[in-house]
Order: sequence, then structure tokens, then C-alpha cells
Amino acid sequence: MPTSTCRPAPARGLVAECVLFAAFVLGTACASSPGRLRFHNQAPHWRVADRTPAPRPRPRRVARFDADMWFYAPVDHVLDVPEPRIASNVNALGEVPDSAWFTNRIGVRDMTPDEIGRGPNRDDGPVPPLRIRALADDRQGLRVEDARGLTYLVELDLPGLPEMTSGADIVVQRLLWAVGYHVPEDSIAFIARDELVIDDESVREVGGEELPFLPADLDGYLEGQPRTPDGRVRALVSKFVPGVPVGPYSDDGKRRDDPNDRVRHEHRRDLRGQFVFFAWLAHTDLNPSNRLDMWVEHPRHPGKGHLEHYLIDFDRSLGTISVTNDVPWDGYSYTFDYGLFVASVFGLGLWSRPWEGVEGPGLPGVGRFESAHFELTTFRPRHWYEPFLHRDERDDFWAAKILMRLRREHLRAAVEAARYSDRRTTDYLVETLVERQRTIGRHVFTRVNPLDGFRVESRTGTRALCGRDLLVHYRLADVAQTTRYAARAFDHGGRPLRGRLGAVPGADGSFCLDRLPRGRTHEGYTIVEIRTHRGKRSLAPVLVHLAVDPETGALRVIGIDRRLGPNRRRRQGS
Amino acid sequence: MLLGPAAGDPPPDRAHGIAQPEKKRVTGRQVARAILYLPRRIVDLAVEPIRLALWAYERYELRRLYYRVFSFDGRKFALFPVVKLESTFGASAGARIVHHDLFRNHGSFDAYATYGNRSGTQAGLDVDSGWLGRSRMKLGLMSWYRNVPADRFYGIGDNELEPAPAGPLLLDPRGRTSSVRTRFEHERVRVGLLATFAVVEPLQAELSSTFTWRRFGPATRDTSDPDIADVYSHEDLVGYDTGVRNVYNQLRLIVDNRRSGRSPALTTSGWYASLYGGFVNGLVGDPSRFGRVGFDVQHFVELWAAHRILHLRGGLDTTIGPLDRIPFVDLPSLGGPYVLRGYQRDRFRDRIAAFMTAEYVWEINDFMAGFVFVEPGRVWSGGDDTAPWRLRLGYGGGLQIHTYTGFLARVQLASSIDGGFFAHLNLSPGTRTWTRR
Repeated sequence: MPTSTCRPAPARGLVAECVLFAAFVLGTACASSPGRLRFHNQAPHWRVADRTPAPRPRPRRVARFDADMWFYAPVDHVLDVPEPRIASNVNALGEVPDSAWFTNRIGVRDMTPDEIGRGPNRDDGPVPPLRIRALADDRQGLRVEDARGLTYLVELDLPGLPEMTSGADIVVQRLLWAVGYHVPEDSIAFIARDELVIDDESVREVGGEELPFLPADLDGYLEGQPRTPDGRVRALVSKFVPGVPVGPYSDDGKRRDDPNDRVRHEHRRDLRGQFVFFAWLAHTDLNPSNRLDMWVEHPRHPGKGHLEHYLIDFDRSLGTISVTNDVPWDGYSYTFDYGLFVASVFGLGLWSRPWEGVEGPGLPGVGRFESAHFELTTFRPRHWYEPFLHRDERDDFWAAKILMRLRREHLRAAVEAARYSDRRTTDYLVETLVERQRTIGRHVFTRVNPLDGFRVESRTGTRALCGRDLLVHYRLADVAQTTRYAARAFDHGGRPLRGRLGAVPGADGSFCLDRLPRGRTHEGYTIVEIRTHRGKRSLAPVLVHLAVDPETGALRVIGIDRRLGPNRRRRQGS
Repeated sequence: MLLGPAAGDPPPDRAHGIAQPEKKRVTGRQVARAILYLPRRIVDLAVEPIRLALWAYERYELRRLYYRVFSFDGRKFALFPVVKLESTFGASAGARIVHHDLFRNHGSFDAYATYGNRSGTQAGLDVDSGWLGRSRMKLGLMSWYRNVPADRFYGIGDNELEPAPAGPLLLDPRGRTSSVRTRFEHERVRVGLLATFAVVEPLQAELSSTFTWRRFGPATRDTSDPDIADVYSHEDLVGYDTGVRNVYNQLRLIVDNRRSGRSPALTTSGWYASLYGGFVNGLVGDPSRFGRVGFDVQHFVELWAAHRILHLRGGLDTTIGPLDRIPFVDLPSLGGPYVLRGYQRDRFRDRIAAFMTAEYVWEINDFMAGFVFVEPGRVWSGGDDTAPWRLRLGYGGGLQIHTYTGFLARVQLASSIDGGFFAHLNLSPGTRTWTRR
């Protein structure tokens, strides 16, 4: 953890100081009590046990045409009048522990650009020759087996749109992996015609039937694709993930026949937080067929295993679908969007819809992906997705915090993995990702009290609770000069402890609340309520719960209760 | 990837480390949820058939099945259902078979048949050869049969609607003094041959010759309206007693440079203009002998933003010849779901009919467009009209549903300055729409 670099409070006029202090006193005096919530005195959990061997669940159908996903989910949500509920799969700090759904990567450690450039890939893709197994119906990919016996799906770009879908898939796959999701090993390969081998087992699927795959079928499949000087064709190759596929995970409820699935999916923070990541990447295709549960058998318990949950198929993100399918509203409207429908019908077309005027850069390989019109609140995936209907600002905060840890060089590494032939495409995508990332950070960190990274430090013989203001840290707004933190401490019973605490942020957004008092009961249980004041605006408090570590005797952070203020807007974009 | 649980790791729902949760209180939301429980279940139940249908659609690959059963030749040949609902003529349903690439030459074959209690039986067959080689010519066959058990006749002229006269005196339909809603049976067959020549882009010339056979009689379905022969003097209804058997030869010049949006069923810009003239000759005792001239000009303008379209249309249809040589059903007419909407179908008939349309169309989403329109028009006798500049005016609006490949359905509500309210639903997937983007 970095040490604090708190700066002293800036010199202000005496009157101003007094007024500000009076405001603090009044504000803190009016503050609510710390409530009933208490945490166990234990270190937060960073991993959960959801890989307990269990019998294989029954496969779920892809349910591509699930009625709820298209139009019924929001109706049911309104009639259900659900109680706002904090995500259930988080640890005491509000973080998502490692699980079969999510693995903390950039969120908890620094990663090198090379690491992100390689992503989850363990090798450099398929080794030729590639024996053709099947050409999927509607030419949706060629299933091949490489020289090592590994199975890959080979997908080509659409004729006339080189590098577009393959590039988008790679960029998004690398970045979603970096933030923590489980994705398949995708890569760009340049394949020669003679590396594709047709044998007696090669078939093409047509209308549910399997017909022999002929050389003419292969020529037809490769037709219209640009060739490299040595005659190769660019392709997206996706390695089949290990295990037995058992269909997609549902976006609500639990899989009844999976004992490891103990949190309703709409209440999983890793799924709710996808809103932020998907908005950033314009990943709108939330069709169930793009999520996949794989059953992995346990080596020591034959017939038993657990599910690994994957996100797959990202070639429609980064605004590509806007171009490939000519749907300019992609990212701004659900396929059936009640709000926009009513506005469009009764507005008689007199108002400009959010996507009008949005254009792509016109660079090869780039879809309608830009940052000038991007706002988190206007993002809409194509389908209704239950976790997004239930999400709150805490979920956005969790995701935005991870997102902001990706540096420009990380993004460049992910984009370069897509091997765009035009340098301008790479540069444009990197810059656009950075701008959209900062738009999200600015939006989220101004709606939640963005204090994070809490720790207890010993400073000049006293204890201090230190943390970091993410809005200031990432320089998302010029607020460092007008920001002050005011805090009060309570004991386990909710009784106020002596003294009031205050601090201002350092240049890097870090701050320390010195002379931290300690509760006298329940192993020094102490609750510090911190309010952030930016000029005249106050943000809802963060309550940091501390207790003495029985092993070291030092005070430590055991839980965080992040309150939402009156300005909260639940379900933006829903 | 970890296999199996590690010691000390909690299950996923126990990672929160909470020893004592916040107190739960009964909130307004819980009360609202309790109140809405039943409506929610009812809506849920109502959606269940849709869920089931979509599930079956996927589970049994109904789309593929549909195409396997009803579609042939690479989905260029398909069978579609047709449903129409019209205030004046009730509901009708049927099917149409369409081939969109006949002779591998972008020709078309469109056969349909529908039946409705009030609208009767309809069947038709259209064949279009597509452009033949490099000859810049295409040939077509157009034929249809229709039997309406209780078609409507409102007299001739632009008259106000009146109740049926009480006395035994019959009205002269050509007197243009009153308009009474009457009924009659109307059976007809039409067969035509067309040859279209591409003169110079975008001008086309179309030569056609059409034989029409019609038979009239008392309405064969009970209605509240009087029979035509009980109100109008049937001796003065040209063709009523003799039937109609005539041939119409026509030359039509067409300019068409329309462009469409994402759906070919949504025209966004361009012109369509057609100017026609022809002559009708009766056969075997049919008194028909008259000329016909007219035009239909349409202009589509994209307004301030994409897919906000102003559709302007003007049309004129005139007949030339003595009134006693023009069958009463061949007189130009206005009213119905397509021309002078807001009035009953064929509400006005006379020697000359003219109308204008200003329709504003806006895209709602990829599959829907809204439209509102205002439509003035009227019929004239051609000289002795008492108020030649008084116009009828219809107005209304509706929704059109389409797909990326064509028209699906249209719902239209219309009224007029003379009152009345008319709804029209046309569900007709597979309707051929020209494609030019």
C-alpha cells in the first residue's frame, strides 16, 4: 500500500474556515447513526467455495428467443416492486471474491501490458494442419481440429468489412479477461487454404442436416476475404473451453440442480457490474447464447465436478453491429424499448433520438464506436438483462474502480492483440477507450462517495485511517481544492466516540484522518463515518468498520458500508 | 482454475462477513408488492403462451421447419398467411404464395386467396417475368377473381348521405341529387397481360390489355342497408342488368426512382409518377365504350433527420365518354383504406376523381413506423357541379410494421370532416416491395 501523501489544509480566510467548520459540525451532528450493521472481526474473504464437486447439471437450452429478455422483464420488474438490494456475493469490503464466475486480476494487482496483450491464451493458436469438422449453418464458423487434437472455431470477417468483427472480439475478450471475467482463448490467425484439410468426417450443417463438406464449400467460404501477400486469410480462432457445455446461465434466479449456485444471478455484483464494462466496450449482444456454463469434472471425483461460467462471442461489440447489421440505435436502445417507443410514437419523430448524429470514424476495422456522444446513462444493451435492472451505484462503483485501473498501455496492448493492419485504427480505438473510460469514471465517482483503499496507519504515535479519493486520484474533475472530508467515530453500540476528524486530499487523492479513536468494547470495534464535501455539495457517507486483529493487536478494516445519497439514481440505463 | 473448495473459503452467499444485518422494516414497496401480486401473476400467466411459443420456436426450430415446409428454392418461394380487417368489409383471412426470383431473373409469382364473411371470396395470380435478358422488356400476367356478397353503392356524385326514401319511387343514380347507402352482389373476374419497356432510366412504358367480366345482383348477405335495386332505378345503372364484359387497353408511363430505408417497405426518398390513358370496349352486349386518363404522382422527401419522411401524393382519374356507356362500377371512385381514407370504400363515384395526400411518416424503431395523414379529394361530374371547389377531407394515422425484408402489417385509423371512424388492419407478410437502397 502506498503511504499517505496528505497535504495540509490550504490557507483560507478565518471567516471561511469558521463557516466551513460550522457546516461540518452541523452536518456531522445531523448525521445518521451508524445503523445496526456490524461485521465479524475477520479478514475479508477474497475467494469463495463454489467449486465443490457435484453431479453434472442438466443442460439448459440457449433460449435465444426467451420472451422475458425481449419485452417482459421490465414489466415484471415494475409489478414486482423489488426492494433495492445490495449485491449478495460480495465480501465485507464490497468486493467480489474469486469464484467460478470471476477472478480478480487488474482490480487487485498491477498487470503488465504484455500480460493483457496475451490475455487468457496459453499458446499462439491452432497448429496446422486444421482438419475441418463442420461448417456451421448460415456460415457461422468453421469447426476445426488442429494438429494437437484441440478444437477451434474459425470465423471470418464479413466480406467488405475486413478486420471489423474479428478485431472487436479480440479487444473485448482481452479486456473482459483483464477485469476478471472468464473468456475463451481467442486469437487472430492467418490461415492458408492448404492448411485446411477436408476429410471424410468434414460436414456442413444445413437445416439441421449434415451434408458432405466439399472443396467447393471451402472455396465458397473463403471467397471475398482479403489475402495477405502469401495468400493467407485473416480469421478469428476461438479455442473450445474445457469441459462439457451445459448451456447458458440464466440472468435471474439460480440453477436449481447446481448446489454451488447459491446467489441469485440478478444479485451478483459481477453480473450487475457488467453494465459498466459492457457500456464501455459497447458490448450490447446479451443474448443467452453469448454466455456459457461448462461442467468441469473433478479428477479425483469421477462423475462429479463444478461449473465454470464464461462470457463468449464478442465480435458484435465496439459498435460493429451498427455497421454489420445497419442498426444505428445499437447501444442506445433495447430491441424493444418501452420508453423510446412511447417517446417515438407520441413525439411524432420531432425529437432527436440519442443515437442520431453518432458516426464512426470511418477507419478500416472500426464500427460506430466513439466517445463524443457516449454517456453511461444512455447505454442500452439489445436485450433486457435482470442484473442490470437490479443494479445500484455500488455495483457501478465496484466496476468503475476496476475499469479505472487499466492504463493506456494496457488498452494499447489489448488493441494491438487484434493485429489491425492500419495504425490509425489502433490509435483511434485506444484513445476512444481511454475517453469512454474517463467518462464512466467521472460519472460514477461523482454519484457515489468515491473513497477507497482504506487502511489504518500509525502516524506520529497515533492511529490514522487513510484512504484515497478516486475522483481526485484519477484527475477526473478539478475538485481537489474544494474537497474536504469530515468524519465521526462510533463504537460497537453506535455511541459517538470523542473528537471529530477531518482531512483534505493530497495531489494524488490520498488522505488520512489522524487521531483515530478506538471503541472500548468488542475488540476495539470502531465505525468511522466519512462524509465528502466538494464545495457546497456533500456526498453520502462511507462507513468504515474497524476492529483489532487478535493476532497482531493492530486495528484493521473489517468492513465497508457505502451509503447511497439522495441523488442516487437506481438502474441508470434501464 | 481451482478444483474443489479451499479450506476456510465460505460459500458464495456467506462471503459478506456480516455479523448483524441492518434492521428490516416494512416499506411501501412491500405493501405495493402485496397489492400487485395478483396482477403480476395474471400478466405472467398471460405472457406464458408467448413464452411457450418462443420456446417452441427455438426448441423445434420452427423457423427452419416453416421454411422447409412452406418455402422452397432457397427461400425465394414461400407461403404466407394474409389477414385483413376493415371497418367497411369486416375480416378476411387467407394465404398467399410468393416467388421472388422467377426464372432466376428477379421475376415474381404471387398467388393469393382470402375469404371473409363480409368481404367475400378473393383470389388472384400475378406473374412477372422480370427483365428478359438484355431486351429491356418484361412481361406480366395479372388476374383475379372476387365475389363480394354485399358490395356498397352510394349513388353517383358528391352528395351528402341520406336515409333511404320511404316511397316506391326509385332514384336515378345519375341525377346526382342524393346519396343512399345500398348493397349489391358484385362478382368479377379480371385477366390482363402487361408488357413493360425500360425506355430510359428511370422511365418505363407499360402496355396492357385487360379483360373484365362482372356480374351484379341483389345482395346475398343480410345487411341493414337496402338493396341497390330497391333504391336506385336499375335500368339507369349502366351494366347492372347486362353485366360487364369489356376489354381495356392502356398505355402507362412510369417514372420511379424511390429509395427505401432499412426496410424495403419504408420508402424514404424519390419520385413515383405514372401517367396513363386507355380505352374500354364492351363485348357481347356490354354497353361499355369510354376512355380513361389519369395520373398518380408521389414524392418522398426526407425531412430534418433520417427517416422522417413527407409523402406527398396527387392523383387524378377521369373517364371520357357518354355516361350511359360507362358501367357504374367503372366510374372513378374515392374512399376506403387507400385513397381518400376517412370515408367508406367507394363512397364517391363520378366521371372525375381527384385527391391529394400529405402523409408524414416517422420511424419508431427498425420494425415500426408511425404515420399521420391528411387527404383532400372529391369527385366531379365534369361541368354541372353546383359547388365544384368544395372538397372532402379525410385524416388519420396509424402504425406500419415491417421487417428488414419487407412489409408485415399496417394498422390505420381514419376519420373525416364529415364524421365517421374507420379502422383498417392489413396483415400481409410477403407482399412484394421493390428494393432499391
